Amino acid sequence: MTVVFNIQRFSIQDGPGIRTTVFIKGCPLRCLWCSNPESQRAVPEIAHSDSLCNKCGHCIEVCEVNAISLSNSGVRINRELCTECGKCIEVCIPEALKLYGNDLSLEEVYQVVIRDRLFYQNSGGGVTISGGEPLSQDDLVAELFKRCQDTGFHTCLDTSGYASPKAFEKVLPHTNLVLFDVKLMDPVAHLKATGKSNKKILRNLKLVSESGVPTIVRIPLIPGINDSEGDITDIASYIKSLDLKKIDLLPYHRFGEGKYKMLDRKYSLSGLSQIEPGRVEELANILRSSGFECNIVI
Amino acid sequence: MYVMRGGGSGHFWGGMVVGALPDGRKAYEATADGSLSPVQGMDIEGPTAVMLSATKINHMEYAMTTLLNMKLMPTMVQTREGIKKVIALVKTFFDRGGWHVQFNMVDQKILIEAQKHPERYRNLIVRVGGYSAYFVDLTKEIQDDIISRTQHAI
Repeated sequence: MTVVFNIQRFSIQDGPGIRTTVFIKGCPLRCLWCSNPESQRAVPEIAHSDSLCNKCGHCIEVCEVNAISLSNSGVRINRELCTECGKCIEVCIPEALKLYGNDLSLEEVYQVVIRDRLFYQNSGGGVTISGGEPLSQDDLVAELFKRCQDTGFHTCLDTSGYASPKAFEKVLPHTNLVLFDVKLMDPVAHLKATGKSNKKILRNLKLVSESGVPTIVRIPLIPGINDSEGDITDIASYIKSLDLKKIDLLPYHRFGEGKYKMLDRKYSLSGLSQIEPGRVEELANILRSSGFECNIVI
Repeated sequence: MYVMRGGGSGHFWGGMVVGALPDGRKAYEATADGSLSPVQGMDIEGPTAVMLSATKINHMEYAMTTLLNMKLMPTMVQTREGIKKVIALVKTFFDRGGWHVQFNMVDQKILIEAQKHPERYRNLIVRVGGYSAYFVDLTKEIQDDIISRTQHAI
């Protein structure tokens, strides 16, 4: 089963040109700052948007397990009771309830991807697979990339790096660009911030660098977690030892916080302020002065 | 999709003689603007999908009356790379036989409207740090923050 939680057309920050990004649901990591909480579990999930809810109560009436209740701001779903049957979504007229995640076949994904082929041709774009962790579905990704390359689309893999080396070996031959996330060098700090040690990730980055596929290392800059000069230069010296030259910095933002509410989950970094643009520029300049091509993703 | 001939502000006058429609539009409200633009809140697949739909008709049959209005976030044209992507977007529109497209930058006024009437702006996407989010899905605090920053950007 391949659950896709979003296929974003006119995606413009996940590789060159105009792209379509396919987001695969399910991630082995639980990064504290995750801005796509709906990407974490590998199954479809129901979400509720308070701003669209008109509090009519139809969803409460049709729910067979009494998982839905009404609060001042909108509905709440008891996740221990909810079976994700989707009946509430059918009766929600303002479309405040929605399902994150559809089980799609390779063919269904490909049919969406090829719609924008003219835009890819005019912009040097193509398809990006992101997540969640796309390599949890390595067979689908490899086959989709192969078909896309045969048609002449650029292919880009956006990965957390946490996957089996075999999955990488399967997908890399059909990949034009890898966006590889590195968060922290210290394994203990990494475990604390993401739920997993970084050993596997760093080993895989070496494997990717040896494959010769163009690779950009992406560092999400999270205040108080990895935004010190030491954190960044530690990562930089590892990347340099692998002969990789490109780094993207992704400054922390809180755009995903609303989605935690929609999924009745707690956002553990609530109240953390965004990182100063001047500070980001400073860190980028440190990387540039040690020979990296460093881009701040805005 | 229906094509309403007569661009400009014709959708206000046109709307005054059109009854209620099954998409939820109430009787005599303005129809979709610009003769080709999607009804507000209906273009949920983004700008490429809008352009593909808008170029399905033969524009020469309606020459000089077809107009597509689109909204862009100011951040999209802040970098050279971003501008190139908007150019590719426009080029594809004309490659497919489009006649006239114009862009409005999303400004503070639109964002404030979206906060008041989320149902009409469920498709409004804002971008930051390589990340796209529906404006209506953001917390009020983040929405306020974007509204104040958008004022500075223009």
